Amino acid sequence: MLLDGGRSLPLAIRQDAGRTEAAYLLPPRSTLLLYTDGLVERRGRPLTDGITAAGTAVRDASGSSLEDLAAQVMTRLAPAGGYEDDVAIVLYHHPAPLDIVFSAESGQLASVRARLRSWLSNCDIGAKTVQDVLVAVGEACANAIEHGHRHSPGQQVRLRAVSTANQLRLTITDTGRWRTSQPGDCPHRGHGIALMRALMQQVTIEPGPAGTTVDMYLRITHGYSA
Amino acid sequence: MATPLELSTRRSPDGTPVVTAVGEIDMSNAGRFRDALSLAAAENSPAAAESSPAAAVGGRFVVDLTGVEYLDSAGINALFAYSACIELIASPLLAPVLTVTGLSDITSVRESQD
Repeated sequence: MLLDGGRSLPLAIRQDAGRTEAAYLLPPRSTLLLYTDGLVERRGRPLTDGITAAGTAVRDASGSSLEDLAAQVMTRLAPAGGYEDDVAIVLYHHPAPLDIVFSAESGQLASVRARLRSWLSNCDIGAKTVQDVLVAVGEACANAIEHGHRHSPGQQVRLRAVSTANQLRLTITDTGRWRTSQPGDCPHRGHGIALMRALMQQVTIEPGPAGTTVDMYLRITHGYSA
Repeated sequence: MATPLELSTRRSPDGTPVVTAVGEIDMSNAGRFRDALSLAAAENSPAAAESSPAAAVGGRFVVDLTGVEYLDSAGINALFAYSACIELIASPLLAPVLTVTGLSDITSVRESQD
């Protein structure tokens, strides 16, 4: 989507000329790119070619973090001999990533859920999908609280949530090690992991030297046109 | 502090105990939920029926989760213990959790009207 309302003469050409304004409502999970002409203007090439290339670069990298996206835009649009003019770009994505650190106590679960629910309401996904994410994240947090801190209470758990145009990524990190299931374990304990794997597209559980990381992805199919 | 959860038990006109939960059920309050189920099951036992014939209706009781907006494996584990003798009422919001864990395969589930 090219924002072409609000076009005016370049600054300082005519001091007395009025400047136009336009407004556009950014859909949730969309990415905004603002740029100076150095990014898109090339001698001997129509300006529209450069603008189209910039739009394509943003769309192609729509699953990336903003940092990666900035690098990709700058790299893909760079002419062979390097940029001839100064380039400034601004990238904005809404909602910004969620990052919560909480103490590993079951009493924290309700407020973590409330904050995640609020963040998800800015992602424009359906109620059923919101519930799926809340349950999958809830299971990972409950496991982090229960298994990760059996031997060292008072530890912390970190929840990060990132939205891109077509997916959500949720990462829960604790400082403990989940116990692998033993014979004689209550058979119902497995429900938590089964729920995570059923409700999310991709779940990895990585024990590491510092703790266990659960990484979950959910593809969002309902969307808006770019 | 545990997640707030309202629990109440009453009897329907035919004498069946109905346990009603309103709020969210997670690992912080699943124990209270399990206690309410256990109490309803005990009141519904054949022994209880002897002292009050109206009490037992085939040992079954109803668990009404219409007002429950969050349920995960903690609440599911509590329900599994009584899966043979309960009838569940739940909104469509909870359907995926009931289905994935297999509870809806072995327990009668009625969709609430809300």
